[in-house]
Amino acid sequence: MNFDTISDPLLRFALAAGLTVLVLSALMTLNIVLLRLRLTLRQHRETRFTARWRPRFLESMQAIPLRLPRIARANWFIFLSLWNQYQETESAAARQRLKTLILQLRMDVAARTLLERGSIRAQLMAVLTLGHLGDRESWDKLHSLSRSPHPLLSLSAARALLLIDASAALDLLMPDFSGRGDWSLARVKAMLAEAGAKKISAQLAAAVDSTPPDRLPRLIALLAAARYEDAMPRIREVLEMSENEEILTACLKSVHVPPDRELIARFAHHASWRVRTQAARALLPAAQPGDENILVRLLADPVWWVRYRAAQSLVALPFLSNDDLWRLRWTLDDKFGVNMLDQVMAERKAP
Amino acid sequence: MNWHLTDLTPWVTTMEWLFLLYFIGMNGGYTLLNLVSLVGVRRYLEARALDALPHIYSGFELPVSVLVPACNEEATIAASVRSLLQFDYPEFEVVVVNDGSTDGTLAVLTREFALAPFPEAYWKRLPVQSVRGIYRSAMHPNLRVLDKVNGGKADALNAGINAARFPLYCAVDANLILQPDSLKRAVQPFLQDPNTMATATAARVANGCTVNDGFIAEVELPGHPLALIQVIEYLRACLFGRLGWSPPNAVLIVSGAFGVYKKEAVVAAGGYRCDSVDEDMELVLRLHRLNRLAGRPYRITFVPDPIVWTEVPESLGVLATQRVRWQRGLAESLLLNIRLLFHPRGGAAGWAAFPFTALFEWWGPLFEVLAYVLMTAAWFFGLMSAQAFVAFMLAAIGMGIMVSVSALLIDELSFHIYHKPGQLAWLLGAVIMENCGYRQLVALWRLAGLASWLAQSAPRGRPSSAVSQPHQATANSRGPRRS
Repeated sequence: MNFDTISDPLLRFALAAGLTVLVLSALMTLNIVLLRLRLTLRQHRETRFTARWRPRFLESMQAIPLRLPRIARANWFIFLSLWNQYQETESAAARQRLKTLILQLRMDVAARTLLERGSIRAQLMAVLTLGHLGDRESWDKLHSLSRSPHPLLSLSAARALLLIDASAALDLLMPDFSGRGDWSLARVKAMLAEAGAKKISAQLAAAVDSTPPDRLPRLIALLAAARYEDAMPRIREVLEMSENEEILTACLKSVHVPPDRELIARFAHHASWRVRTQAARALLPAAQPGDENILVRLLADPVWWVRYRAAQSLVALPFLSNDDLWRLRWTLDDKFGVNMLDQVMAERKAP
Repeated sequence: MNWHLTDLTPWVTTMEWLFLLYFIGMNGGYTLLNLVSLVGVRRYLEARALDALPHIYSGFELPVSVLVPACNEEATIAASVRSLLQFDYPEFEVVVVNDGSTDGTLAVLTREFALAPFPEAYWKRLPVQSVRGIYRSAMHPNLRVLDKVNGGKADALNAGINAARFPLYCAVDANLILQPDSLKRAVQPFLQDPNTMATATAARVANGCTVNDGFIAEVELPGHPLALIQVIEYLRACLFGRLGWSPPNAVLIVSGAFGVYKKEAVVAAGGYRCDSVDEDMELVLRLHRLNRLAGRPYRITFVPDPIVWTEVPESLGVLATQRVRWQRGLAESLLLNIRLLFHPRGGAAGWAAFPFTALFEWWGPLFEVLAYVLMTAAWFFGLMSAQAFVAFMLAAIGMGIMVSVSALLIDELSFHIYHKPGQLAWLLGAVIMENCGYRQLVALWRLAGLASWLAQSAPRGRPSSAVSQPHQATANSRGPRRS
């Protein structure tokens, strides 16, 4: 077969395409082999480094060794990764010594370098490190990273800011906490809880007044991380004034102590089943003898979830004995209510 | 009138161009998806840079109901349920739906997990076949079993949804091999984006792997060449067939073997269609269509971690049956949701993923088989030179090889699950085998599936679980769409 004298454009095109993709495939195969080699070398290096440094970390939690080797740039990431692992799991005293260790090794400088010039992966590790170190020198850079469109990087930077100075960070980040949909609510809650209810409560509660209604449900959900005495008056105010189903639901999820009993009971008749469901749930810790009647009425609700939550609350009421529950069950005339109470009573029986 | 074969030459030339452009279009599309996947996987891995650290948001995971449809699975159901109960996840329940088993499935479950009748106020939100009884385990309070009249897998899942207590549910095939963190990883997108409605996961080939207590202990390559080739297919399909469509929110397939869904979204969409061959794909397409057309924000995300492992067929007969059924399911699901195609509000799903899938997956086998058959015939009858034939085959097969090698490259850049040097050599060999014979054979089976769908002759619906048909052990767990 002779391809040298090809004049047909189709043939030329097909041949060129075929050869090109085969060459590309060969190059990719070579790339795979090189990547595999690099990975193997990196893994060996990291294993050696970890084996050497784990005992040093453990030793440093008691007393910082006098002689410590310099950390080569290639090992910065793995060192910071190890340091952060201990930082997030050890006691406060051990954490403090580990901070001394990192400063002694000048790895705070390394972390700042990674923050400025590293890959996203390295930046994430640097953000975490500098947050744990409470590094005020990095405040501006962390603040600018908290505005990044990269959700994890920006959220990690926000966490670092909270760890450095919770109050100042809240001033800067409150609109983002309530407004950034790409910031997982669960993570934000966890970060606020980590910063400490004492430090964040007053600011979070005060933000209720200035937050637009569309962002209010998210902010109210975050109030779960605040102290009750700061959060509750605001939640009560919103419950009194709002008609928005989403806001009411968020508020009722946050109401959980006796003084709010009457307020909660009011929502047991709300037009929205979601609100009624939350009211049935929220009534439990607030309920007093006689409130079982509200829950019994909710057992006849047309919506399954309302009946389920009402039955759960009813069965868990501390002032109703098992006999009381059975007596109550026999007085029910709504079949769906009876079925639901049977189910929840059976669920309660520990296997 | 004298007629010569040579009169067909202009037609053959046109045909050659068409087929060549088709192959270029198809493989060019996959290459583009490949590039998107590279970016996607890079981002994903960046997010995992902190994985080794303790998660400060632990405990915020949404509770999940794990739904396990089962029909005639007395041999394996106890082991499957035991491994599901070991998930490393803060709050979950397992709901096994015994879909009218005629063997001892219910008896085995009752014996192994000390089931007792449970007076549940069953909420029939989705219409299903009659539920005969509900049981709860005395050993594991988070295990319930629904015993119902047989109605197929879709009906069993709908029954499970009706019984599910939690806002998310995970549909799992009973014959699947998982990892303790499978659920945790699959749920992450729901924590990160509240608009997430479903997450698809990457299924990998379990043949040859060592399994301990229902979980993968060591990853090995299968010894059987047919299974080995499917490793490449699964890599390709999962790593960029789906990961590539994830950033523009256009993932059309969530594996029926393991997918996590927001329960209320599925109920609002009407649940699974019981008359569908491929109920999981149809549901995902419907979620896209309903939400896109209504302008509601939503997201269907792909989790590329290798967290789900499935046994693939090692016999040609079983593989053929599987591919014929997948093709029928694909055709049917796309047709049922055809309104999404080029709809003004269709977005990437309606304007890119749907047409791409329709052209290269739905009708692809027809073009592909025609191309190989007609080109060979043209060469045989002298309408095409040997050089042209070789050049055509070189281009068609070469492009396939390139796409497969690029899947290996992405795996190497990301999860490198086959880390031994020998494994890499075997996989590269499998890439060649896949494109020189296997792929063409699969195209033929898929064409048969297309014909069967056009004829609409075979009965619809399918059993609740793959294990109910021992010789079709993996027919359920949708692995790779051809890519």
